[in-house]
Amino acid sequence: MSADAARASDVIELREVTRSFGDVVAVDHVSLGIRQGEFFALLGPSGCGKTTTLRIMAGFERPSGGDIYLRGRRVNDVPPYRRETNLVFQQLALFPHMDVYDNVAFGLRVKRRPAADIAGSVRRVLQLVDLAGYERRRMHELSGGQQQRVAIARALVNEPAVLLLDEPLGALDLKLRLQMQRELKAMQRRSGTTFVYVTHDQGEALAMADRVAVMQLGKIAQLGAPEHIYSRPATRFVAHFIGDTNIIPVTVRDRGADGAAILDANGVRFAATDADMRPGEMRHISLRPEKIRIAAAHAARPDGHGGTVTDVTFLGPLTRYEVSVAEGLRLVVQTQTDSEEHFRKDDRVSLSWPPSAAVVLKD
Amino acid sequence: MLAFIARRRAPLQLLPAFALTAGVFAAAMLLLFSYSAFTFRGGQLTEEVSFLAWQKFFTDPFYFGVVTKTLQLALEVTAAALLIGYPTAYALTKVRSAKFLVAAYIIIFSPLLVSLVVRVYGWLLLLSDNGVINQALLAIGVIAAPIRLIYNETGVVIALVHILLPFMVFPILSVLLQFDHALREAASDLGANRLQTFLRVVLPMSLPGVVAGCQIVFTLAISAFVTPELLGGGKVQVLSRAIWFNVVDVNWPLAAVEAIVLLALALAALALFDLAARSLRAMRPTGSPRPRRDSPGGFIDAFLRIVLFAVLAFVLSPLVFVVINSFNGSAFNSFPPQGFSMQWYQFVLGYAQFREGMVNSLIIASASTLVAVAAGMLAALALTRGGIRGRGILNAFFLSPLVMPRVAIGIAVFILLIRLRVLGTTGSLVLVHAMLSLPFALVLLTASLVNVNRTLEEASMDLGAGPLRTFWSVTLPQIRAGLVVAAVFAFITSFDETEASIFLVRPSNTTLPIQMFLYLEQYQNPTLAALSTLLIAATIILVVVALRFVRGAELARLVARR
Repeated sequence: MSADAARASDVIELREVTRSFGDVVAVDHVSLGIRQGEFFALLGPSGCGKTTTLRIMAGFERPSGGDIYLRGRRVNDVPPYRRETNLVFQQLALFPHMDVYDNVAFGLRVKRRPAADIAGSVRRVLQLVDLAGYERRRMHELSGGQQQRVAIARALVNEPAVLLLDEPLGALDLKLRLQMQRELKAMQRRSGTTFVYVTHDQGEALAMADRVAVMQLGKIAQLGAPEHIYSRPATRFVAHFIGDTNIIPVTVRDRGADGAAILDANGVRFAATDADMRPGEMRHISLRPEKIRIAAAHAARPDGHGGTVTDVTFLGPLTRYEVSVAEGLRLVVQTQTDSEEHFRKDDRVSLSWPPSAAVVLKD
Repeated sequence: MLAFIARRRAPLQLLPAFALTAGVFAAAMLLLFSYSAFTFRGGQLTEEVSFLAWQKFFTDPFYFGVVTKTLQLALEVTAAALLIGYPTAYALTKVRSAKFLVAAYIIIFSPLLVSLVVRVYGWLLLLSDNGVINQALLAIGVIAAPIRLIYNETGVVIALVHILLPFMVFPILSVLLQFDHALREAASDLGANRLQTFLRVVLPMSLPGVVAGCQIVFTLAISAFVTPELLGGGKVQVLSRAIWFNVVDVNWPLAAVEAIVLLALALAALALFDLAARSLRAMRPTGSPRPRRDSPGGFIDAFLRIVLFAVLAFVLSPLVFVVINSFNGSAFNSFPPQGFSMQWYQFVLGYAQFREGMVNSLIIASASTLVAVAAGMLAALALTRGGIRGRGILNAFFLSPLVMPRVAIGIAVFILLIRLRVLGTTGSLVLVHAMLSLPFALVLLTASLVNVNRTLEEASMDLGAGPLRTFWSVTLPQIRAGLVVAAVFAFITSFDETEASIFLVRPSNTTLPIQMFLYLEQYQNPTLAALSTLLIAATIILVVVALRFVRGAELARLVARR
């Protein structure tokens, strides 16, 4: 792999791509490669630059710096109508003056494909999105979920190298959104198309994506498989953004014989397997609430830390406790709701977790 | 990306509109300024630079009187239009039947669609000594002798209010329709009765509409020419008429001075009203308004309904009596009509001047509509998405012919065309009319382009359609309504243009409204009624056809939005 040629396995590659609007840098030296056939999610809060990154891929924004490659070809100056990408818009952008068939056929007609081919392609793609028989419907005669599927069909029918999706499920209600998530994933598998999916909903990204890039302030904070990002968050931001977590400021006290570090949080001492720390260093760790075991004070394990329950929230299958462990150290604990063993406010409890649960963060 | 492409082409897209406004309008105005410094002595115009014309204008008390009269007339018209227009707009917000509402809108708007000369002629029929009003009053014995309603200021004010009423009603109406009903509920919750709510909440909040309406009406009233000329009986001596007479006398320097003064008055009025509007801007409602039409009922609403019907009758009556009179058996505009006759229609169709005028008008209106809409479309595209600097200034430049009194434009362009030796050519008239229609086309097309869903254009380009294809299959369908309305406006502007064209035509290409104006200055018989009836019928057909276009497009968009 030479530095100049794009990696062959990547459908889209961004190299040091920057996009600024006046003084605002929306995308800041982003480099990433998206592999053929994968479901890739760009995840981040609003204003993190994820939509701008997507629009750079689609060709609606030109990078102020850096290069973008599509199937190995540099496409910085290629307008959207000459790119092999198609975008499913956040607001869908279905043409209101056309019916389902004309909307879906638009791209093929523009490319002057023979009418018979167009009819066949449209029929196949409408079957794929489960809209066969809706050809002559107007946009206002469709439900939200159906409009969604027309938008996807209109893009997919062009057999793009990459299908770009800009929070397309944002306007749907929760139930429909969950259903469309499953359907999208299924469509992606069936069509074998590469999907790049922008969302601010971490649940959506974790549920659908093969790989996720978490963006913050125009930069990629972490990139990896959903499981990896969840269990080994790199930064405080990522740990907070993906799921619920305890961020604990710690001081490194010592290095154990087994290579584990002994950490100190307000006098509470525990081990972490993560290496590469020097004694005396100040760091932050992430400790997922469901990794913490909670037990009655009398049944405490030897490595347990004593504390007092300060708050209990019943969440149905799960129960969430807030436990004050030491002065200034309050941990959130989440357990399966258990009829046998549950605690009330002011109960004395003992908390424990394995060294591997304490993930040392970069910042 | 569309913006990016537009940016590179923006200067080119602006060129036609710029050439039209700069080459015809700005050049003519500059020439007019320079002519005000030339000398008119002993019936001769010389290019000797002096300021005799300025001196004469500002020392002769006659001209002081003319300026005073002009302002007084405009004030009277504005006050009367406001007094009638505000209750009308308020009454319209209470109308619940959608069909009646559309009908009322069209009726109030109709004076703008009917030729100026036709409207003036209608008022002649109504107000003259043997006209409808006097004859009716005599018949029921209220008066013993006809009262003088015409050939004095009264007639001019009545006719001008009639013509300018829509410009007062619609700005006020648009503000009232955006009124947040929650505010009314809040006022009533705080103990205000209906009158208090109106005086303390509704009225103050509708003042921006009032100021906008007064601004337009006043500006148009100070420069009116045809109405004071035909209905004033030589007694209503306003600036526009002074200009006309000086042009006829070849005293162009003095005409130029008068035109410049008229222009200065118009700009001063605009600035003053703008100042008033700016001080009101702080009152804009916060949050999204919740409009609601009041449920009718009670004494006030009954009164408002009477006002509305009276205003609709006022607006329609000149046109109605024009139509009735066209079948008059008598050669005089007598009322009631004496017998039924089609002779005036026969005469109109056989009258060569009208036939030629009609042909000329159709040619000039069609050609200038084409030029204005094409130039306006390109300029609107560049202005809305070109990302060019100085957009505000460019826009103001393109709209500047709107604030200029037509008579002043007429004399300025007249001098320009003489210097260029193209006065009286059809081509020059087409360009002048296109220049006058351009602001309307530009405003309407810009408004529709701003409302275009840009994401749809992006979707189209994302699907492989280039800029031209995208414009054709995605942008154009969205602005079809605006395009039709712009074309209709441009066509009517040109077809009815009288006050500037009167300086510019030659017998060979005289347009229809000017033939009518000239005819009306000489003859008083129902011929003009017959011609006017034909024009009204043609306008109705044009509007109905246009509405069909607009409705279809609008309907589709409304439904899609839901």
